[in-house]
Amino acid sequence: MNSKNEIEKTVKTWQVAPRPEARERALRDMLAAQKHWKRVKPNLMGTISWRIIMRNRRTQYGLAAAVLVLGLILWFAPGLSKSGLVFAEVMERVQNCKTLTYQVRMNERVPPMMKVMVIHPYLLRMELLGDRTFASLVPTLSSLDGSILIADTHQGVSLILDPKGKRAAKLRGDNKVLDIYDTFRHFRVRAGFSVSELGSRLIAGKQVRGFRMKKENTNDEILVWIDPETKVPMLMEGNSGQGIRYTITDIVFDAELDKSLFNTNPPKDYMVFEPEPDSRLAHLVSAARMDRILKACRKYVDEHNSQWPDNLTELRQYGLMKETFINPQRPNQEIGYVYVKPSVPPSEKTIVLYETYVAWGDGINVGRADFHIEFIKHEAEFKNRLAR
Amino acid sequence: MIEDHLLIWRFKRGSPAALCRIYEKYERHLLTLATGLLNHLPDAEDVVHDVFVAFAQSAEKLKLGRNLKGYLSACVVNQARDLLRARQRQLRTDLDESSLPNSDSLPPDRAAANRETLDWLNRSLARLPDDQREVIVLHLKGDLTFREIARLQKVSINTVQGRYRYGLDKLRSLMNGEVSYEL
Repeated sequence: MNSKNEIEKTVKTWQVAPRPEARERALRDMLAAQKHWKRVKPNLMGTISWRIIMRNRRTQYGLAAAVLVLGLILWFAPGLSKSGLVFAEVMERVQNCKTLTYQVRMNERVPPMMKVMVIHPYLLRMELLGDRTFASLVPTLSSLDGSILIADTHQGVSLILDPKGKRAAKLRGDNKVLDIYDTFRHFRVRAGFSVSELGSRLIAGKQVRGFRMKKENTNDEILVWIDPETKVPMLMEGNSGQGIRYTITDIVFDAELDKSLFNTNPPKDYMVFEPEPDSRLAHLVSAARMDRILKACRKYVDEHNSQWPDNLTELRQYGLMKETFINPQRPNQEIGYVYVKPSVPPSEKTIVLYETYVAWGDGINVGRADFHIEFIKHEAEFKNRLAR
Repeated sequence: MIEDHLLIWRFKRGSPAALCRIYEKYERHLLTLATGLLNHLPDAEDVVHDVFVAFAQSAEKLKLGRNLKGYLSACVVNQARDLLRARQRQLRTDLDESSLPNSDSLPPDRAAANRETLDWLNRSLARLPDDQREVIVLHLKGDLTFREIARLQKVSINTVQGRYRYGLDKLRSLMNGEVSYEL
């Protein structure tokens, strides 16, 4: 170990594992201390202040005047925290909800292209409603209009249904697709992330308040508009990272959802088939797996002072299953993706991950240094970008 | 980070779940920091324990001037320094096996090499003068800048940088076997 950098890297990656008994003791004592503090916490200042004020006629009049003035200010100044809306409160409400439904559109004026239903924390149903504009922009999904994806991430099972052709494909493994909880979790755990107020606008006859969630020095941002009555998001506008702006509408939390809609067994009258290696379904599944890998990379980068991992095995500590590393088009390969450690700092479009291939088919998915997935159709373009 | 803001908000309102989540999120980092400063796992566990018990009672008066991780790291550093001063101990070099990081995720040959390297690191760190080791651990594990370390150690930034440089040089010599360990 000769260089200063190697020593620094060794020290940085050094970690001490806590012993279970020490951990249990700390948790037990910590919670007991918190409970004790909540029980005996005296309102000493309140008691003392009240005695001082009520003893003296002058201070009594002063207190009454202060209360009157404060009331007048609050009554006549609507902007002054009258809505009492804090973004953290919104986040907490979102996390406490049990079900979620929403629709995804290019913008508010066009029909939805996707409808999503979630039963927290494991069940997801995504219906692709079909939209030519969207299909032309996201080729991997263009042939799937009308398809339904149902995922049970607890069982590690996904079902893709083609109601028109009465076909079904059942897949096993780590096929979780992004949903709105991930959007918030995504932004929540990133370092260098900021939230700012946007002001108000009128949506569906309600004056709603907005927040911008933005990753510094990138184009990643999402605008969240909050219903002042329910204090949960009612509209969200985002950037997919491929330059595609999208809008999430018709957001409903805690609706009653029929659990049979999340059944991962194919209907009896459907033909069940295995995805072909070069099929677009396989690309979709592969993209979801690569997305999980990139999320783990992001966590690693955040925890290691912007250093990227040396190889994919360093990401296993983030709970990635073995199936995550299998490219559905190459099911016999233990790791079906090639990881390219980028130089620091990489540009956003640098390729850090790509699907292995023998012969170039209709294209491959690549993972970029900005943690997004992109589908590249032409081999020349891929090789050109990889060489950079 | 947004999660930290939300956790603090909930913690200040007395949420045990938020307190547990804060502990789970930072325990490993803080334990590593304390172990690096004290080189004695039981003492390091005591320091982290005490910091979190005090933190649990601080909800009402907690005012974070910096991020949560930095705040907790500073608490651990102060406690560790107090402990060192109070006990005026020689650092022990017998850090036991159970304190080495979990290498289960690595292939067996890499895990073995990793443990050996980290074992050397532990012993080598213990051989450094206190002030050099403190600078290295605080900078690389505690994410403190040299300016912050200078304020903590009450010396100039140049002195801190010098300690860091000499500390790394000595660490490299020890780990490369150029200087023998004297038991």
